[in-house]
Amino acid sequence: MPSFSGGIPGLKGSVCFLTSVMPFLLLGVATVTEAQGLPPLRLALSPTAPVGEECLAHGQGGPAKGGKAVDDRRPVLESEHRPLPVRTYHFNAHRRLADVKAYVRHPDGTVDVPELRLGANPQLTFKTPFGDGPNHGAHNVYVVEQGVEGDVLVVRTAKWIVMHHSCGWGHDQKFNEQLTQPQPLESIPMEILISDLWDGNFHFRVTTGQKLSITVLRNGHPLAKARVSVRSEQGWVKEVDADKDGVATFQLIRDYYPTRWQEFHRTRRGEFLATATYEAEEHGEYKGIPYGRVRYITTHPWTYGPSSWDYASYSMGLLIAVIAMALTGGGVFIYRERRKKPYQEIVFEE
Amino acid sequence: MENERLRRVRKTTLLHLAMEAKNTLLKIEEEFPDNPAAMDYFYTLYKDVFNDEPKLPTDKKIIGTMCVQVPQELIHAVGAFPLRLCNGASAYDQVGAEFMPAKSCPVVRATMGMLHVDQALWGESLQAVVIPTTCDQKKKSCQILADMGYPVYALDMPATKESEASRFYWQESIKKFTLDMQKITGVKITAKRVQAAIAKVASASSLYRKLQELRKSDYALILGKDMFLVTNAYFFDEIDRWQQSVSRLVAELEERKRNGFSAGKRQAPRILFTGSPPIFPNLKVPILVEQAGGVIVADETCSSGRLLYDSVAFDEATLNDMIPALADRSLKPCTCPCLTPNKDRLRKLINMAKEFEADGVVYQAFSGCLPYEMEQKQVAKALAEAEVPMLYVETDYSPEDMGQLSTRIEAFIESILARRRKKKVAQLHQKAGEEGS
Amino acid sequence: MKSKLQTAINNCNVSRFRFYVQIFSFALLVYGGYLAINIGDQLPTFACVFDQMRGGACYLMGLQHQMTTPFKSYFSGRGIGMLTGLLTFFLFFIALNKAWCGFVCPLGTLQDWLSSLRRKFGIRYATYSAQNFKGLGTIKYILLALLILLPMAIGNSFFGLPKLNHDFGVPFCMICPGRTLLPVFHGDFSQFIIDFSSKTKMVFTALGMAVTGMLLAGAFAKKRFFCLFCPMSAFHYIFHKAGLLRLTKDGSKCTRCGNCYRACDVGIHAIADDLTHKNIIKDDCMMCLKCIEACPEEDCLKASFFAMPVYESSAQGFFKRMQGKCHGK
Repeated sequence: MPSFSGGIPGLKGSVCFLTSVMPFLLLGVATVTEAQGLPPLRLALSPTAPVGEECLAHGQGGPAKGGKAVDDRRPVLESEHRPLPVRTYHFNAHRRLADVKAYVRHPDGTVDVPELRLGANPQLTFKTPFGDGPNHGAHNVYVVEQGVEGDVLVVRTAKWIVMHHSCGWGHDQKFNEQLTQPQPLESIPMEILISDLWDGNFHFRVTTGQKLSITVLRNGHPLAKARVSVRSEQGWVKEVDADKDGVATFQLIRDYYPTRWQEFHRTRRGEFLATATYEAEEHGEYKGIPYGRVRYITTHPWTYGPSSWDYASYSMGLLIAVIAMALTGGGVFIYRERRKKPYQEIVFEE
Repeated sequence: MENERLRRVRKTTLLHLAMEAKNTLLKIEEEFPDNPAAMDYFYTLYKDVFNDEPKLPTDKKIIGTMCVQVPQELIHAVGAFPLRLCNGASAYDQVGAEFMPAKSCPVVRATMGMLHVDQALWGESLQAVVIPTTCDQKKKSCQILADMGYPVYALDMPATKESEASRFYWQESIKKFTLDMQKITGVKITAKRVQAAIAKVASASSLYRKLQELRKSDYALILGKDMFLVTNAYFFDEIDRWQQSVSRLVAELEERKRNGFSAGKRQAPRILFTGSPPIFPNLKVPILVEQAGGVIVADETCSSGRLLYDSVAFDEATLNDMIPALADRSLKPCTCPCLTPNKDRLRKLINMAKEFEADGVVYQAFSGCLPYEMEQKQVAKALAEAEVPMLYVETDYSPEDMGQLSTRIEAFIESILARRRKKKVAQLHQKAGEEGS
Repeated sequence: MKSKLQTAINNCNVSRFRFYVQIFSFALLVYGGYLAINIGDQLPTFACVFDQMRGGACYLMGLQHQMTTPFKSYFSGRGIGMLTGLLTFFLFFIALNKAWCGFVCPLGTLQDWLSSLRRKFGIRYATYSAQNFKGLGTIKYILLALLILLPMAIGNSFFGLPKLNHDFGVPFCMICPGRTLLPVFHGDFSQFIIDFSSKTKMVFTALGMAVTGMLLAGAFAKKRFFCLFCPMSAFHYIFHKAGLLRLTKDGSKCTRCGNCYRACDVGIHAIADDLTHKNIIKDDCMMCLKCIEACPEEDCLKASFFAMPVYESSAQGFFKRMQGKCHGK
């Protein structure tokens, strides 16, 4: 029953994210794997800097007003707010000789090959028709680059999840695990699955302090002993080796500390980047070129916001409720006691 | 000396009373055919009570009441016996006339006369005489009775029921009455007891309503003179016994209904009786109406209809909810003419005339009963607008005006029949006209 | 003569029926999500949107949200969306009329439970005078106006004033005790917070918690305390004449005994004193039908659906229910 378009406040008062695509503002930031030679492959909304119409309704960007402190809120991109019929994403430089492919896994499990444009500004484009149907939900976007360098097969993959959702299409998916849990694609050589990225209503969910459970998959099967790292917006990095089930667990630290209370913004979003690398002695042949070693690098970005604990207080809430209750109850009691006294006299108001 | 005189007066009064009661009962029992078998209980009851040796109706403590506004439930709740003192005997009326103003109402006069003559009868068992401050005569009799030495309890009642303030005032009155009942009888009033008392009175009024429903049938199943006896018995009969007898009567009337029985003539004019209360043995006017060929199918008086009709509804079984509910029952729907304005009585009469398909209304006013006398004009006007003919009868307890009354009542019944014939002829004409065209 | 079935229904204890319907509706609207039930997003009752496991959603939330639309968009697709929303609400509403409040509303049910708790403690209920009722009755219209005007001032500028910020988005939801209390029923206490992220949020959440506290104490003392202030009830009243379920009164049969008024949880005087209007529904009415239960006059008060009688007052039913009450239910 389509009713109203536009967002509704979700849990903890966060703004409903109609479409949560993870733009990368800090393109080109060095990552831990850089030392290995090639940077990991990453998908982004814009090739260089954030672009797109700023959303006035949520008015979080724009120049600072009247000499006040510069607003630290990230401009919100239009595509984060409204479902778009066509999506275009960019990725960073690929190797000229390597084999580059892209895939889109739709919420219903079908896989498409998006339109891929390689060259100076590599990008891919695919369609996301509107409405509550097979397209409603998480679309996994993958770029896979494979090639042999020396005797090493280097496989770089990048993943991005497009939340294609409008509240007007309904929120009936909460019990469909196929839709509410991230789904892997077996044909991808290596990818990362992160749990609890969105809630049953396809609304953004990750906050600081949350435990992220990251599973590394190689062709859809858990990969043990991959090296997994998470990097927060402020540059905090943590590396962990995945256990035998391919799972690494991280707790996202709080890294948003505005100096003044007024500058704190509940809806502020930062990006974290999860990266997994894996290297092993493996002999084989790729497109006729033999190799004796494989190296996999994969990335998966997502956004996070401040935890409600940073700005919300249960104790105050309970205190106010209890005070209100006591005042009301006490008021009733006193009123009743007073009523037991004899009739009050009539006083003329002159 | 004084005592001796009183003893003599008492003796003659009681003889007079016994005769009066016997005469009335004779008329009721013998002059009408086909009395319901279940009425025998009531005939016997009246014979036992109204004789030259009055007895106390019960061994319990007695709380005497006047008017319908005293919540009987509270009296039942303290385990006492509610006895309605309002009296209808010409014998007592004559006693009362000796010390009451000549123009006072015969109900008050007879009641006062009875209390004066029979004072020795009560002994310790009469714990209180509860008199709501309804009409002026009842109000003033509080003082006279107190002077006689009766334990009078004046139940403070507002003169109007429209405003919220009067409602709360009356609720406070009844709440205070509840506390005072405890004091007077030494029995604690608990929610459980009140609840049980409400249930008891509710089942009595549900029986009364069943009778009322039966009286709506096309043919009268029971005559008004019997109905007045039944409701009048509620004044002084043990409530459980009363209920058993009325249940039997209801069963019998239902049987009559199934058999298509008619207590009066099938075409008898249906009369709605209203005004000053007919109390045994003064059933003069109702009996005259039915002797003249009418059938009293309904009544709107405080000795009958108003006594048992209205029912208590409470939401929560706590004293704080049930006691105000009792108060509301006896004020809000009350159509006592002592209240002003009293539009509800007009509406009630018109609705009753419709529901009981009454052909006419007989309005009895006791000379001296000013509220009813004064309300007569408004009732007459409202009924005229509703096209219901009304006969206004001013009378008292003495049998002297019987002849004159019977002529007027017969003429009224005849006029109803004539009206009906005219209507029928007009209908026939109309029908013929329609068929002709 | 009435059919046997009708007589049997009229003899029923509708309060008991209502008690079970309320439990069912409460479960449906609060826990419906567990069974993937969603009966609609435009419900004329407090099926709270903040309850993640709800089985339907309250229309006021959508209404407030739609009101943020700039005026110029009213004539675009948005306007059609708003109209369909209102129409859906209207269709839901007319089916049950104000019985949504008495039989379905989870917040109302919660208050009824608080009332029965009070009854268990033997504490008397509060009564308000007619004048108090009149004064309190206007609050819900003020709330209704605010919940429409405040969001409007987000998308539009009134009299050249600056637009409000988005924290004013759903002002009524922020102070509605449904938001704080209903999620609690599956262990979600997350609405019990004071949000310090902005001044507006702080004030609204604090108000919300204060109202919650007042509701808990108030509904304990006064039957259906919050319903006196409920803007949904005011919104209902705009459409009540179209309701298919009706509560009618035949004034000529009324003795003004006031039993109905005594039974009325929201203290409507007109039910006892109004002798002229046939349609007796007032803005506070929640169609709990307790007045019909308490009325001893044949056919005086009547609930009908599509002019078909559903439940009528009757002497027989009245005495049956009263006897039941007098013998410990």
